[in-house]
Amino acid sequence: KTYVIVSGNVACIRRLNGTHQVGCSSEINGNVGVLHYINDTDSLNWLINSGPHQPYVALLTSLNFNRDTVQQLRNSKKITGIIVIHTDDSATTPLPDSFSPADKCPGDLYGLYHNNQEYGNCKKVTWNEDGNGMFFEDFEFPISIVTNKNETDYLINNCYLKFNQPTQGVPREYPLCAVQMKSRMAAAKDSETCIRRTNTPTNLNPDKYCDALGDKNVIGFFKDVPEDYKPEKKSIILAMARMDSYSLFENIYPSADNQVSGIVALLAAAEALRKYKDHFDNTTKDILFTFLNGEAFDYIGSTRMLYDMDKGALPLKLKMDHIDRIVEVNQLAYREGGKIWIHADPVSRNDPNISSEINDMISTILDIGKNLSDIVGAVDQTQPLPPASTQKFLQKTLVPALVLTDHKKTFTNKYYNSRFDLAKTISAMVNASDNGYNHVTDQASNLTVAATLLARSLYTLATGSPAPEGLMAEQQSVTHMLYCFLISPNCDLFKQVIPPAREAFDDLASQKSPYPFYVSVYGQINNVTRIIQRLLTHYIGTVEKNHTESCTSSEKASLQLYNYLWMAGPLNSDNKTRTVTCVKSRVTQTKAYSPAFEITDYNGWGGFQYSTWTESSWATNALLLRVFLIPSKAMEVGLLCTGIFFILASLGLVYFITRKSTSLFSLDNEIEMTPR
Amino acid sequence: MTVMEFFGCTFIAFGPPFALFVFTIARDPLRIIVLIASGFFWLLSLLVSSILWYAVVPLREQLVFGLVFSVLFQEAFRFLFYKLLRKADDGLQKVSQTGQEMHMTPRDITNKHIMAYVSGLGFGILSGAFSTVNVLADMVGPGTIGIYGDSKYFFVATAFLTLSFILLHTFWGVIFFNGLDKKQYYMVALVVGSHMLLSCLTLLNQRTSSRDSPLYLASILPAYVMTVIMGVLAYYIAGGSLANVRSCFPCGNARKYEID
Repeated sequence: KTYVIVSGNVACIRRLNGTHQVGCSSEINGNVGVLHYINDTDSLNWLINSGPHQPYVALLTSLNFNRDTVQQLRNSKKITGIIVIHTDDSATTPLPDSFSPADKCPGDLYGLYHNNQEYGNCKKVTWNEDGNGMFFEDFEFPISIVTNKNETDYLINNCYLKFNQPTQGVPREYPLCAVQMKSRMAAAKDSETCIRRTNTPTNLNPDKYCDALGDKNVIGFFKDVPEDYKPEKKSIILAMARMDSYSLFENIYPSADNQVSGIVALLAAAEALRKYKDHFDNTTKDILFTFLNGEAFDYIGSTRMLYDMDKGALPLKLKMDHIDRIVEVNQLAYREGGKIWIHADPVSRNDPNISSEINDMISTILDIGKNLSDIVGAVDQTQPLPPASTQKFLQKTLVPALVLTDHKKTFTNKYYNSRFDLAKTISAMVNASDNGYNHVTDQASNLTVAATLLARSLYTLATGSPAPEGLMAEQQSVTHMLYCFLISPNCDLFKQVIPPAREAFDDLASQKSPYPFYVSVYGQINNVTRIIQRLLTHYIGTVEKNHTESCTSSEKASLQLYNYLWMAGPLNSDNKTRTVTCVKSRVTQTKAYSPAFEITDYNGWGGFQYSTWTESSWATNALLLRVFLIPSKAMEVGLLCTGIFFILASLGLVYFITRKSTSLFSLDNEIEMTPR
Repeated sequence: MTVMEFFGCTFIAFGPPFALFVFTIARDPLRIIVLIASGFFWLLSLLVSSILWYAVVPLREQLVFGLVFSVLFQEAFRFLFYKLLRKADDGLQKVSQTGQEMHMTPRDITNKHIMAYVSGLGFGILSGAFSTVNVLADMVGPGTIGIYGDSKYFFVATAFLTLSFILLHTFWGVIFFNGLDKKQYYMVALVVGSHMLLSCLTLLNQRTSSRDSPLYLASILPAYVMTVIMGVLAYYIAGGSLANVRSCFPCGNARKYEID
């Protein structure tokens, strides 16, 4: 009767790294503030200059939730929380021109050009021009988004307009409508401190304050090899993409351009190459398809992979000198000038061998591109590499490396690492009534060409011969993958590759929204990693018909040459049952967990060697948003004083009555005045 | 911060009964026992009323039905408690005589109105507790009532109404028991009738489709008028008179050896 709970709310959470805490948190019992809806500068100025009922909670639209407004609100010291409207409906949530909470030079501190005078600190190109850096700010109040349109309407109409909206600038009288935002984060200060606190139990029920970010990388060797295979030096081509990103709000990690577009292109290229696997033998190089996780958080996956290489912990005891060259796929959806752009590292060009190999690679790819509607171009040679995992590998050993992205200079993605990097923003979504699983969008057809380019380039780089005409990516696969990754995972493609167990199917069927592309906390299941491992197995593996004893249902990390996975399989002709298949491949997982958390007494927390990111933990009922009315102070105090008066007066009165009870109550059947 | 509202309303509703308890009941174990026992009988009446409400499924939404029968059950259990107490008179006499303790005076048994008062207070306290505790619990959070359109005076009205009902139950106890003792059955009918009348008046506190804001005054004013009337009636029954009251006040006549 008193509270209206807003259930569709998603909070901004707190994360920590080696030196700072970033994100938001509320007080233990939540932050209570009078709701004020800001949809234009007038209402913003009213709040900052004239609002008398502080503290306020500001309700912002998607257009005015930007660094400038938030900073103004913070400086006024009148607000105790911010709510942002973010629904699916584009009328209530219009797309801003740009919004990127990442910084302007992502990954620079941990990248190849850190401390480099010429290329470091984005001297040549500011990669993320639209970056406002809000992800790395430490807010002293909670910020949440409300995703349900009915609830946002309730907040605006039944709460703000009804009780709080000032009439011609004059503030309203109590009772006012207020909001309580609870999102209490347990961790504070920085990763080192909170890991230390977590590891120092003070009672029998120890608390966990934060968890390290991390998950698994997915790697898959392409070539079919004999049992006694040992790779030779410079015999492997690394084909990489990253699997994760972030945004300001929990579980909203759509990552359409960064980096589903790259993942889809690489997987489609893998599928295309599969038909020509027999062209790969002991005279050709091998391709290692690598999907790295945690890259958005200072390169967790790639750093760990290099660390494992040193320790010999990777399959085949893989080391950097086995790697011949690197091709990385980055964002591919907003192609500048309709082309994909090839970036190379100018520092490695100082070595003339590497320089000439780079030039060969670029010309190979440009030639292939000419046959594919001229889809590719090369950037200026003096330009450094954009933020990419390649930078970490080059930090170790310089090899010829290329990064393919959709931008020539600065990012064309105006929503880098934000909640707006959606399917509809990259034109991969239609409002078709059949949900468009088979509908080929513009983005799908363009990405197919990109995947073909990638496949043919990898073929040529590995075998040294021109790619066959038939080597093309499947448009169906690209369309399906875009749908499954960006719109709904409850799709036929995913249903084919998941384990044949009932729980896996039910789990998939209950998913209402796309899988979040976030590395998440180490130890927690990351659906994106699992599904990419299964897709890669499906695309480059072979169906094993006979020796199915070694087939397992769950994905594990293994050092064996071949791995066998059970999959639910394709639909039979009756459209109801599936034929369970066992797929043999060289795909496996490797750890993507920062060595900083494994090395005992690590003291490089302030340095830039290993990623130090952790995520705060919170209690199970710690996230809450509810709406109610608050009374005026006068009414509250008045009621309290009345109560106190009542109790004191009645105590006095009753005492008086009991003292005088013999004279007040004289009874005819009173026995005697009994002395007490 | 409506913790202030919480304390304010708690003190308003339970302040006088608390004072009554502290000064008239707390020192005497026999009175405490009778208080708790009569409270228990009120709970039994609540149990029976809720069983009836639960059983008659189609009328669950009609508050009137539950209310009328609840009043009848409460008075029925008051009658049962009266019967119990009178039967226990002999036993209580024996208990108090063998004890020879200072606080156990036979006066408690011979003055029938004391036990009637205690049992009425027990009824009242339990009835007040059950009608307000959930409202008070809602008050502890940061919000106050009103977002669904309810009147902002709901908490205040609840507190005052609870207080008047607690006092009324106390007075009704005295009048009821006296009526049964003296076989003046019109007194009993008066109690039942006034209880029913007042409870039905509180139905006006509901928000109906025709009237969006509740009429709190329509139930609170008659309730307090009734409280005063019943209070005066109970006072007379218990042996008081206007002369007694006047004799208290000129403090020049205050006796020096005031024995209670």
